[in-house]
Amino acid sequence: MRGENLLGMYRVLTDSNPLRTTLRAYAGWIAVILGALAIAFVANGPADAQEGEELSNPVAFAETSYANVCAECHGDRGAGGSVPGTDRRAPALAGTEEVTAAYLDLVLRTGRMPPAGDPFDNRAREVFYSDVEREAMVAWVSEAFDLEQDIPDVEEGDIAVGLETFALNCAHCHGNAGAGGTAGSTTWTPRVNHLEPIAVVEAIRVGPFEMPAFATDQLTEEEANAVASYLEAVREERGTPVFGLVELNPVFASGFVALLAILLIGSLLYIGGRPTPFESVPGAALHASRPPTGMTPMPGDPRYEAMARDMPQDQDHEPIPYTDEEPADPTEGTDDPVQDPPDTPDDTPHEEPPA
Amino acid sequence: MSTTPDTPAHEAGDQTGDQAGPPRTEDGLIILARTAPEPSRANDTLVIGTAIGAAVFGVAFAVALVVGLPIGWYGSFLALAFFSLGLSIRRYFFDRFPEVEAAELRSARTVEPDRPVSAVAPLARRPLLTRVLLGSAGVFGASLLALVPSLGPKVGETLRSTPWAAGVRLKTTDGEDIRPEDVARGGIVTAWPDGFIGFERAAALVIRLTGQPEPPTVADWVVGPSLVAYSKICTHAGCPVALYRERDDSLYCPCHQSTFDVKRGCEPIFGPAARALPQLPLGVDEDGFLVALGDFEGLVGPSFG
Amino acid sequence: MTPLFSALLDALDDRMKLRSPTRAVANKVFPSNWSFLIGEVATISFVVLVATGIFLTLFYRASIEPVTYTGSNEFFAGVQLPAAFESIIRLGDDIPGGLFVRRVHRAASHLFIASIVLHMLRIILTGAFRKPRELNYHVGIGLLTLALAEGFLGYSLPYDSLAGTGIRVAYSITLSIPYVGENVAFWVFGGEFPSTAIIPRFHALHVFVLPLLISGLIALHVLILVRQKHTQLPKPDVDGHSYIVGKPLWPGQFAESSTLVLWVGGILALTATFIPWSDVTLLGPYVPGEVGNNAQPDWFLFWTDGLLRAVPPIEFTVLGATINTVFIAGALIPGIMFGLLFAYPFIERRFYGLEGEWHVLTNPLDIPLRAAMVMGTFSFVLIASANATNDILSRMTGITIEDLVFIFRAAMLLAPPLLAAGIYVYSARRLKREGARVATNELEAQSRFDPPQITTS
Repeated sequence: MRGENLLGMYRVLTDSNPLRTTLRAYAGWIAVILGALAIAFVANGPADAQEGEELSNPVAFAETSYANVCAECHGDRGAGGSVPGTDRRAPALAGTEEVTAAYLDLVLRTGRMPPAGDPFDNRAREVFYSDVEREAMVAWVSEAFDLEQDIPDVEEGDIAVGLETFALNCAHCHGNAGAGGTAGSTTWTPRVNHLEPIAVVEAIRVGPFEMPAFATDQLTEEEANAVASYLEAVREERGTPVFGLVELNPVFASGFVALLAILLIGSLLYIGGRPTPFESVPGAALHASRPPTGMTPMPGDPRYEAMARDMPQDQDHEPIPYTDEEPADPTEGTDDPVQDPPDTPDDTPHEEPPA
Repeated sequence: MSTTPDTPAHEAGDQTGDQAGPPRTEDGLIILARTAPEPSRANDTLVIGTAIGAAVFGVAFAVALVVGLPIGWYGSFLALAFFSLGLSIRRYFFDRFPEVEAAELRSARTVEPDRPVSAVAPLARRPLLTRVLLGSAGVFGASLLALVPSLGPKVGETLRSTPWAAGVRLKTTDGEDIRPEDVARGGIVTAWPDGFIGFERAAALVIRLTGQPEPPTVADWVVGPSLVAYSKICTHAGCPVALYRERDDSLYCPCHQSTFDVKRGCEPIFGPAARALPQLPLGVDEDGFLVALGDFEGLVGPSFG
Repeated sequence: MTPLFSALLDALDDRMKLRSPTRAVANKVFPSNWSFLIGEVATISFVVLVATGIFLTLFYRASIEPVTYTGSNEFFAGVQLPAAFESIIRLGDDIPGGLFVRRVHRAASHLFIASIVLHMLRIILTGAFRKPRELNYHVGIGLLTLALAEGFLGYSLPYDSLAGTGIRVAYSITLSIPYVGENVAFWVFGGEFPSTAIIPRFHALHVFVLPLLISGLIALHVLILVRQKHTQLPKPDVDGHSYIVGKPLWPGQFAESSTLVLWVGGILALTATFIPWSDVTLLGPYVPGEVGNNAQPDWFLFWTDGLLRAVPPIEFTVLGATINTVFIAGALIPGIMFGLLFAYPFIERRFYGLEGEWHVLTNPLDIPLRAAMVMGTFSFVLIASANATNDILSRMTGITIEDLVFIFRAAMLLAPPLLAAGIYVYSARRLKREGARVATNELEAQSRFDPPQITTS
């Protein structure tokens, strides 16, 4: 396969004006740079923040919303019930020690509840309530079902302590740097490095779903705050330009290695191909000389003798052209002012080694 | 540069111009085809432009690095410098040299299997001497391998036991003693033998099960209704089996997905592990802290031997 | 050429008599096809690895002694870290260009191994391993093995949490060798994992022993190549058995190679800018007894890790030796694969009764056994590699890990033999349709391309 030079298009485009020639010679590069800038702009474009509006009547909103959204599975009185379409049960909200205000706040805040898709597939996430709506829901539900008020206070923690604590207690489930992971069966551990600090601390204390709870004698308040601050620092870590990548798991790195290999093969096709000649001099044609019938055995080779005997005049054998360049149209650009080759033959060194 | 078709000198005795004749050679190179592009101003512009571009980008790289700009700047400059210079060299050679398609004979030598390598042939003597000499040299060489065992300590029984013994207290990674009530329901704590914190093979997990342990769990080594301790080192490839799935009381290895049923003696229920995680005999001393009642029952970690 | 330069050259030639050997080298003909450049890319990557590696080794501390980090990275402010990890963090954050050089080093290592694998694929597919080139083929396999080992060592040296887990698994595989496993493991790792000897030893191997061996084998590889000359893609009208057709080293191949050097440099710099190949800050240091979720080796060892995940539990004792899953998946099957790779030239020659020397490359579909062997082994390696990503796949697709492992086990057992048999039948029929059989010597093979010239007596 013959690698085509991208710049080959200039064969058609190039005319006599040196400035335009130069510009066109660089048009490809300019296009590449502009494209890269465009990608960078799109990739780093400003993310729009969402602001919930004030609720006129939080209690009425929460009551209606509970009846419309939550009660379908958890029951009107929060006693739990079966999930429509499955044979599994939704847990009771009222009268259990496990469900607290912090638990409720966490699942609403992270979009675990109300579920975006299959309620038992913990990968899908879509935050349903805005901040004010969630506060209204937590306030109303915890009062209606008499939940324990345990939403923790979060303070700034020590990032270095957070990294250590995370590595010892969290990384085996949530993955390095909180990227999320797989826990076997139908359990997938959620990504945690995009969560707000309050959600991190709530999760540590209540131990939602499959996650074990960490009491204060296991993880102190400072350590919990530190983990939250560490995850916040991970989120704020500056990524690479354009792709915005921070750190690569070997699996994702392998994808980029595939990209590297494709880039490599593309380069080899380009470099292994012949450069395309420019034709700024009118009537330029490539001068090719080639042997009559390609490579044939040399004298002294027994097959040379045999061949000379058997097929001395093989004129029917059409030679394969070595170049597929076509001579330029002689009528094109005849009034080209560029007549002199820029390099005079005199200053071209004579590279031939002496005999 | 020549702009006319090359007419290289032919080897003496060649039949020049014959359509069926053998190819021409030049300085030992058999030339099949030679193409020379016309001089082109666009090509010159490209060579000069990219060469200067390479120098400019190179300086930009150096400045950006020294000034302390982020990696995105100096990395891009360096890449652009490389690409510019590469393009320049490619176009430079394209302009300065004809493109030549050449051929080379693979081998002019004839095969002479019977010819001795050296002109000095050995005298005809008993072959025994050669054999003894070669054999002894081999034995001598092999004896140098005696240095290999010095590369590591003696294995002995080291891998068959751990520092756990009767009365050894369980410590957290922070070095604190553990009380049974410190482990919440569904909670999990990594424990080490007193004095051996970080001794990888002795790592144990203390787990408060959500249900009741069942055989083959050794009931005497369970504290309270459901506090058990097992080795943390996977019996498959030795990764820490650190992931506790509260829903079905199982331990899951993030490396190769071996899953162990903690409720039933940590028997493997999925994945490549063949043996159960060994149980640590667990008890409580008079001060109310967790202690080991002995070493693990069974081999910790992957099997060998 | 400037007069001064030619005068210098003349003076040198006068003393060294270089002109005629240089001309012989300059006239060496290289086949012109892009796929012949892949091996060159591997060599260029190796040079980049050595150059960047020298820079890195000046900063690296080969020890796991805990030291207090005092650098500027907020993730480790005032914390005790293993010295090796600490020096990597310091290099990345406090030495200008340090992180960039590390990324180029890592990117070059990926490119080194990827180009070796691609090069090997070309050699096997086109039959460039046939007589007289078996020896160079084996040198190439040696280079592949050393490159994989070097890649693993480089992955381990930062002593981040992934690296430590990788060393642990390698230790377990060594341990699993029947009879001598524990002794070999203690000799290689300097004692029980995680011994303090591991990192200094890995460092010595990574920066000295293996690079020396690789340089030696590359030199041997090239010397044998020069001695035996290149193979040749089939071309109508060209007697590739007796001649190589292509461009001479000077100026054609030289221009191409020097462009390639710069181009590879550009690609490495570009990817090092945009892809965080080697960033390990957030992974944190290795802590014995802890592991992160999604633990994988680098891509070139995916297949062994995939096998470790896939081979079902096996453990039995025979003649006093314990054979376990880790030995089968981590040592036995990879050993069989390498053995097959090593023996294949002889298998093909024996199977088809090939004669004489071969210099013209062939379409693998002309040799059914080769097509089947490449299809079988490479599909096996690819499926096994895919299994090493099963935790991430499970997360992305929502298929449970248990189901995925079952699917991959079935695919690993069924797909390679089926694909191999399929391609064998296809290429055998293809030959039959053309009224041909597998050529047993080169003249017969060449006659397919160039019938008028094959008239030897």
